[in-house]
Amino acid sequence: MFFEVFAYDFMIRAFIAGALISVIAPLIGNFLVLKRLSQMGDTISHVALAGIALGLLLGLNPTVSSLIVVLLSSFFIEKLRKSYFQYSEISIAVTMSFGMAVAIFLIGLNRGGNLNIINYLFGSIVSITKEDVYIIFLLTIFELMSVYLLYKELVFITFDEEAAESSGIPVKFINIFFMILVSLTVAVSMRIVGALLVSSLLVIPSAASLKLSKSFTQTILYGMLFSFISVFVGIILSFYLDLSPGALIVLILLLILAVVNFISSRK
Amino acid sequence: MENVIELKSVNFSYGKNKVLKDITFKIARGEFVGIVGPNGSGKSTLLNIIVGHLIPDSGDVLVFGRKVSELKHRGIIGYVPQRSYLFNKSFPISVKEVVSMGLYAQKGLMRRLEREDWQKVYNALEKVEMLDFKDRLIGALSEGQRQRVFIARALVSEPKLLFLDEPNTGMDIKAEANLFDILNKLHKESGITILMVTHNIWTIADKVKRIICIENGYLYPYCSIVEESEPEKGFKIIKHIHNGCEKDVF
Repeated sequence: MFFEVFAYDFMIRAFIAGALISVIAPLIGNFLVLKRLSQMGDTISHVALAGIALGLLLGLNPTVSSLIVVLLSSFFIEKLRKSYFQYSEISIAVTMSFGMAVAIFLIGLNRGGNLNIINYLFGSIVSITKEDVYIIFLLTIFELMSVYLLYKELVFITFDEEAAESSGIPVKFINIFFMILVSLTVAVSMRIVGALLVSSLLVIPSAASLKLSKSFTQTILYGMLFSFISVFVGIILSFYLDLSPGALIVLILLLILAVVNFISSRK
Repeated sequence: MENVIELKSVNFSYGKNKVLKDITFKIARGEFVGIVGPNGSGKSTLLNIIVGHLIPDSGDVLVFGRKVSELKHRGIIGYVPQRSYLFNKSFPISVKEVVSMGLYAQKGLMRRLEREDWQKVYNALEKVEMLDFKDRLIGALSEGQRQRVFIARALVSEPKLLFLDEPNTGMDIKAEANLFDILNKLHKESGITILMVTHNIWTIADKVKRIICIENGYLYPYCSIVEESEPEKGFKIIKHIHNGCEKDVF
C-alpha cells in the first residue's frame, strides 16, 4: 500500500525534482535570510508567474519562459536594491507589484487557456515533466558549482558588504550573479510548492537551522536536511490525501521550525 | 618623509548638500592621525573618499601616489568600517573565519585558503590578543572583543595603511583603553600608518601626534597636540591653535 506511491512515473519525477530542490533552496535561502532579504523569494516568484503566463500565452515551455523572465528581472532587482540600499524592501515591493500586475494582465489576455496557471500558483506534482526534471538537475549542478567556487566571497558579502567592497572583492558582479542564482532557484522550486509558497522553502529551513547550527556550512546542511524531510513527506502525503503538495510541505516545515524553537529554548 | 595619503582641493556633495569643501592635507608614512569632528561634519565621508567608496566631485585623492581605483593590491589598505558594531550578531560564523575574510581579495575568486593563509589569520588574531577566541562564534563576543576581531581582519593582509571609522563606538572605558593599547603597540612595532575617525576628541587627544579637525565641511589640519598630554592640556592647545575646533563637542 505504502509503496504504491513509487509505482507511478510522475511520482518518481516529483521525488527527484523535490530532492534536487531541497538541496538548492536552502543553499540559496541561507544567504538570502542572512542578507535580510527573506522576502526576495516572494518577489521573484511573482515575476516568475508573469513569465509563466507569458509562456502559456505564447505556447512556450512555461519553465523556460519563467527562467528567462526572472533572469532579466534579477538585474533590475539588484539595480533597485543598490539605489535604495538603506531601504532594500522598496526594491522588493516594487518588483513584486510589477510581476503580479504583468502576470494578471497576461492571464487576462489568455482567455480560456489559464487552467495550468493554477498548478504554478499552488504547486503540482502531476505536472512535472521529464524536461522539467532535466532542467532542475542541470540547474542544481550549476548552482552547487557556483556556490562552491564563490563560497568565500558570498559569505563575506553576506556578512559585511561594505568591508568586502573596500577589500577589493567584485561585489557588484557577485551580487548580480547571486540574484541570478536566486531567480533560478525560485523559478524551479515553484513547480512543486507553487508561487504563493515558494519563499517558505527558501526561508523556513534556514530559520530553523540558524537555531541549531554553529557554523555557516552547518546552517546550510541542516537546512537541506529539513527541506528534504518536508518535501519527501509532503509529496507522499499529497499523493494519499489528494491535497496540494505546496501547502503540506510548508506545514511540515513550520512544524519542524516549531520543534526546533522548542528544543533550542530549553537548552 | 614619504606622503602615503594626499588630498588636493577635494569637494564632495550629497545632492545639493555640500559636505566637504576644498579639503587639502597630507599624511606621512608611519603617522598615527585622528580625524575629529561633530556628528554629520563629514569625517566618515572623508574616510570613505580616501578608501575609494565615494568619488569626490572635484579634487585629487592619492594613496601611495596613485588613485585608490588604480591600486593593484588593495591589501595594502586595512579598513574597519563604522557599521562593524551594527552587524548581524546571530550570523553563524567563527572568529577565525571573519578574520580570514581579509585575505579573500588577495587570494582571488574561486581559490581556497591554504595552510599559510590560516597562519596569517592566527598571527593577526595574536596581534589583537584574540587568538584564544579563534573558534568562538563572532556573535558570542563582547563589543570590545568583536572590534578587535574586525581590526585583525583589517590587519591580516599586512596592510601599510589602517583606517578605522569610529572603532570605539559602543565600547565601555576598559574596552576602549584596551583597544588603544593594541593600536599603539601596533603602531610602534610595525610602523603602520593609522588614520582614525572619531567624534570624541578626548578619545584620542593623548594618543595621537596629529589631529585633523573637520567641521561644517571645512578642514583644520594644524591642531597638533603634545604626545601623552593630559586631556585638559590637549583641549587647551587645540583651542589655542584653531578657534574652529572650540564649538560643540570640542
